[in-house]
Amino acid sequence: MALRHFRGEARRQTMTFMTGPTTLEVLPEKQCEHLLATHNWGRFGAGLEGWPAIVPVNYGFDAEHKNIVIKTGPGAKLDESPMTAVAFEIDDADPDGAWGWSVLVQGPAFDITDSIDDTSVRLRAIPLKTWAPGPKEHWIRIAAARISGRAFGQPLKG
Amino acid sequence: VISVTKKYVEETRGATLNELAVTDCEALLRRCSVGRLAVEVPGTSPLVVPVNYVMDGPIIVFRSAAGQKLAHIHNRMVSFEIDEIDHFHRSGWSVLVRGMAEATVDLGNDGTAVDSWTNTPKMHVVRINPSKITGRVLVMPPAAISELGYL
Repeated sequence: MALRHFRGEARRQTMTFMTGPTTLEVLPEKQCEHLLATHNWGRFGAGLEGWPAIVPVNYGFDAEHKNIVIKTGPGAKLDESPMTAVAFEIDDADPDGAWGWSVLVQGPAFDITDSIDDTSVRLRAIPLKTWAPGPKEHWIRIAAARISGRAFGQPLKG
Repeated sequence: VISVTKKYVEETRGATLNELAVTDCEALLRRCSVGRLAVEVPGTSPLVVPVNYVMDGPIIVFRSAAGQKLAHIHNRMVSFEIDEIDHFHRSGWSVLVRGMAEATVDLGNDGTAVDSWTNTPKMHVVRINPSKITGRVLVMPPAAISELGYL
């Protein structure tokens, strides 16, 4: 671990020497959406039990109408997040710090488990595989009111 | 990181989500360098952003430029999260720290060196004093790994 860290640090310092320090840039919304469409887990952020909690979750992305859907079982996420403003985040970075990006989705959350409107029915048809065990019978929709992203280092591909 | 989570793997024979011991959460916090900060913004969605950090004893320390993150952080309850996900094994762990944040302007005498990956000037030092640390580890059964013939 220490050796790996040392190597990474040496490489990063060399890169910094060669290219100069990396500047954080704003990602265009289209690119944020592309990243959301090509990943399958992220972090759900919401005020739970009086704190802004962050929990990793699998998700699906509705690119057409800009919705994030997650599945959950009974608990704080289901009890407290619907009808509140929540956040959803994905990111990735080079372990040596040569590049990195993050995308943040902000908007209201809705429990669409039993909703019969067309949007909810369509969202519940999104194939969504959850990795964690336990029944996750409930669907939560995050309507993306705002999508923003930032990146540094090498330009993202695609 | 592997040595910390390994014992949970050995104890497990089915896909389960196990609680991590607080001491293991603290060990993981000391070994990572990027985490995600969640700050509540009144009247709207929380802000969740990745930050480079170091541990100063039990305190999480990171640097910040002036902005939305800093505006809502001082003397507030915030969350800080680290995780690592193994896509192939569909397993991983996460640690969530909740605590009070304190922001100070760096007068050049802050002994804690935070190695930031971006070159934005970050004049402010933020410290999170943990009041609650929880962690979970998701482990898949060994059979699910060898099923396809991979090592």
